[in-house]
Amino acid sequence: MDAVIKKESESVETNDMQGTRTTFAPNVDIINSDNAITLIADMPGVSENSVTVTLENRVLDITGNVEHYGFEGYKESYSEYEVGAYSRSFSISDEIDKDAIDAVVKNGVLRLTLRKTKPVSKKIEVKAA
Amino acid sequence: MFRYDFDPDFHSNFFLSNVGALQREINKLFASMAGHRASKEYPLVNVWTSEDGIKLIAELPGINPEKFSVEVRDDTLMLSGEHEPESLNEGEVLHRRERREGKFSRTFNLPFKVEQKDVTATYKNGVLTVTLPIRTADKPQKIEIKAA
Repeated sequence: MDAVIKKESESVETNDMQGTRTTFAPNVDIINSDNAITLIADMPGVSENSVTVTLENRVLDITGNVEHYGFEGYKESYSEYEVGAYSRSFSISDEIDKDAIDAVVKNGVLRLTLRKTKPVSKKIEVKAA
Repeated sequence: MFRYDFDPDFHSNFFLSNVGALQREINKLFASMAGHRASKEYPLVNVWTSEDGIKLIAELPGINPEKFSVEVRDDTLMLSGEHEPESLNEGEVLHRRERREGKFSRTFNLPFKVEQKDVTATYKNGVLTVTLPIRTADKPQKIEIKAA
């Protein structure tokens, strides 16, 4: 699938004063290591104040609002892409330290660092009978 | 490629502005179809038009402005730059890669010659806005008709 085309989010469309707008699923890169997960999401148009990140029951939710824009004296005469909010959910299989989540938004890119907590599971030795 | 029409009365006419909204939706429909056919064009743009020129808007998340160029010559605009790939540290594995990386370039033929010294480009929240004013000498002149 080509990354140029914005994918529609699975969540329902949002209704606002301007009418129905499409919600998009941001394209993401996910980097995994032993002690952290880094998630990078392209969300052009969002600022640090318009992104919400929640983690509950191992489901990570990312949403971002994009304000409608316009220019006084100008009208839109040609359009190749649609502007809308962003929403996407991820299931996280690792135990994450909820107090140590870093979220930074720069140039329309959200960068999330999720630190894994020490594994709770204990290795069980199998003894020969 | 661009539909470009002057319509100074546009905003004062309610009926016309509704037609305009419909036209925009139709454009988007065609654009999304075009996107599936020829998705090599990047970045995708939206164009806003006034009597003075156009504003070209493009979504370009995460670009380093130093690795980005906007070149204008007469009636040609070229956008080029690079989405730098994520560098991985030791022990890190790329689990999913959907974001675009690498160089891109797109050239637009504008329906008018640009006043080069007045071109502005701003980059905010990953969105590029290029304002391209029409060269003054090329603007339509209103000619007064005198009674004979």
